[in-house]
Amino acid sequence: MSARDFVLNFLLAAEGFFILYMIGYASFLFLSVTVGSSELYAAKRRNTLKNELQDDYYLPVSIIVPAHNEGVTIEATIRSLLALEYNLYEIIVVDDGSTDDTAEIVRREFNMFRVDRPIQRRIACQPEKAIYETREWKVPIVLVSKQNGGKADALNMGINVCNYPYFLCIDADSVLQYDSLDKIVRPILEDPSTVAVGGAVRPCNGATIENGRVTRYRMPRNLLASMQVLEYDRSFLASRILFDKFNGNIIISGAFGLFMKNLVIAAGGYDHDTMGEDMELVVKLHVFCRETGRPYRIRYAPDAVCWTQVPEKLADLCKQRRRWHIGLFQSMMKHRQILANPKYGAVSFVSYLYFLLYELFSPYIEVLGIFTTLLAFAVDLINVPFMLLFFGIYVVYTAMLSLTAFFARIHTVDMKLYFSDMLKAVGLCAVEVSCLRFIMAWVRITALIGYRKKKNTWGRIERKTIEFK
Amino acid sequence: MGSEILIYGYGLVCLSMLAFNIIYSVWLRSGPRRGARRVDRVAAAAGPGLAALESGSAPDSAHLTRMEALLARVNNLLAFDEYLQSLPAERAGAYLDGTAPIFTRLAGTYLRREETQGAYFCHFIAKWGRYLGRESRQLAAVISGFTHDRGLYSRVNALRAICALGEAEILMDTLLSMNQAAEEGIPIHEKIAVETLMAFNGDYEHLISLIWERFERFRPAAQRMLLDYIRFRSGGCRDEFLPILLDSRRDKELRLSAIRYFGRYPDERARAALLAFVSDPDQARWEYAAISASSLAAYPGDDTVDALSGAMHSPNWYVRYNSASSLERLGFSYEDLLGKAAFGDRYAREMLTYRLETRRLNAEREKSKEVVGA
Repeated sequence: MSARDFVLNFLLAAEGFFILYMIGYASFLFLSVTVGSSELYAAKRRNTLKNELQDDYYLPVSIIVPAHNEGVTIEATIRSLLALEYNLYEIIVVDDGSTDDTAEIVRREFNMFRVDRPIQRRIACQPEKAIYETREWKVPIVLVSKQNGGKADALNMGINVCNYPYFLCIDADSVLQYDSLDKIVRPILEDPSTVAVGGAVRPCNGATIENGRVTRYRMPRNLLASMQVLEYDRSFLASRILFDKFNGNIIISGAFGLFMKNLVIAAGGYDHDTMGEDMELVVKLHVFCRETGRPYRIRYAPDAVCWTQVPEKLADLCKQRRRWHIGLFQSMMKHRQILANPKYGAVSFVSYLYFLLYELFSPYIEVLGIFTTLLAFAVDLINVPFMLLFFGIYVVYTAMLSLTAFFARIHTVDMKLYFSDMLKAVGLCAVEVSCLRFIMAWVRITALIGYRKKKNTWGRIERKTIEFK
Repeated sequence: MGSEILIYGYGLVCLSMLAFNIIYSVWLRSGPRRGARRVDRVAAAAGPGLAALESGSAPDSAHLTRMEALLARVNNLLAFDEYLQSLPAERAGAYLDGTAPIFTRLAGTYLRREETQGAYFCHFIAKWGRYLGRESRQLAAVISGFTHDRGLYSRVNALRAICALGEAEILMDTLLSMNQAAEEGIPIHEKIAVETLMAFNGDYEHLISLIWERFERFRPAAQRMLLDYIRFRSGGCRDEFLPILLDSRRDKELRLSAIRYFGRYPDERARAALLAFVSDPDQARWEYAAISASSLAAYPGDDTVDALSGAMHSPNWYVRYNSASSLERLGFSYEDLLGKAAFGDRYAREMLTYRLETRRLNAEREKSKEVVGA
């Protein structure tokens, strides 16, 4: 076989692969956005017709806030937690060996006293240095100051300290919407076999939040943050609603997730060795429940909202996405027994496969695509007008689905959107798909280089003070 | 050619999405206007009936027929709800009382409708059912049909409606049928069931007597829910709870519920059992010990103090914590207990110290409240 024949055969095979790959991706995207949007519209109609739990059914919840050098945002975060319209909860702040004044700010601003609180250490974690408590506020607040051990370790400490049967983990730079706790416990009340619930994480850059309520919503001024708003709606909101339909969610964001405490303890708690401890825990719960034959549901509550700061600098975004990709890789490798295993049902054949092909491998496949294009160009086998048409339709298609998901969210929460923001969304969705996506692909390709050195470290992005009034 | 068809197909999807977004936005903007017009229409239709009632006569059959036809559409029922809210409570009540029979017929209509609409009808009845007293039995009987083979919201709203109508017998039948559904894998969370029962609008003593009558026909999870309801509602069931507490063959959760009941409503007949639970060294039964430790706060006496002091040495965190709390509620000084109960036991000492500090924190809280109050 001559070299030219080899190249031709390679290109032919690549063509077949990419057609299938793209059809798979386009179909998934279409399905997730249509199912996600329909569900949001249906939920709005259901709520209008009072097909919802209307009384206050309080499940006791411990909110765990792991913090490491969060002096800038920690006070606003705790104040937002105190503004929650819910009666039965406690706040546990775990300061994981901060080198800034995180613990000092919490102690001072919330008037906390040191106590000798015995800890029931049901999951291994680094020892505490001191525990502080206060009862002066609407709900008890506990601050655990401990030796540095990473985010997973801080969360495990929070689980050991908390009193209630369900715990909610949030990031220290996030703000919960006033009704988020009420909404996130609803799936447990609806189906008592629910063991974990993920909430919707939305970028708060550009939003004005007063007492946990969004009083004014604008697209962020920062273009990078605006693009992430669209990306969050398309990739996270829509796809998680789709996965929720068949109990297939394998990610609950570390920024906002509710878990059944005893089950998490039985499964071994958060994994210290994984950078994506949030995803790893959810995959582990799937494995644990299926292995032990326990009926379970892992749900997604799109109406339970947590507002978070998304990075406004490209370097910070790259850091964040690198971390996410490493976490994805570690979680998928650790639980690789799920792949093509009938015992795991749709979790194996849909969720795991999707994350493997379209999340973990996608940057490499995209690079292979570029290489193939260049090769085809070199041997004069490319139809340039068709290629441009194809690229154009890809951008328009993905952008249109992003916009549909974006508008579905805006329409169903009765948010007023300014016309200029609408134009911004329309313009930026094409840029996000055609530019940012490729930058992120590069970041993900290089993410795994030297990742082992970063074990147990906290991801750092530049924080701004959250405007919580 | 094949690939071009694919591309045109995707193009078509894009256009459909675009059209959907534009049309929905426009439709959404006109929503409040349409809603207001619908309320006006319903108000105009209800007006003659209301006027007739206020002049002392009953609405004529033509009015009832017209209203029934109008309210058979769920959007009109939504508008009717809004209209009723805009009226003073006595006028709204008088109108509903005067037109009550149409709601029994509407219940049959909505029973055949899609589930979300049926659930809304039940919500409407739950909200306004107190004014439909003369039709309550017939209406509740039809509404119990909304609890069969239906989704959670339909079942919960129907249960709320029956509670609002105050029909104890029908409520019990409904609970039994829901118990059957739970056995077939369609459970309802105990918290929801208890909270809904708490809103029962009729004679709750009669309801409780019916519960005891049919208690054994429920599965243990439902029995526990019923015991919780009784615990929140009545202190007059000690005789019924005592055999549950003492019967070691009973389901664990039921016995724990009985322990809680006797913590809330003390009875000397329960003292010995509670003391035995808290002193039980078997760690497999720590839940009995932990909850009894809490309940014993209502049983002052030397035997209680001795048992709780002994439980302070339990290897179980919750038993120690509850024992310390109960000793505090019995008026014991932690300083004394630190020397006595916790002598030589690091865990007991640690727990008592913590409870001591918690008391200090609570005192600080009270102090700061007083400062704010002053």
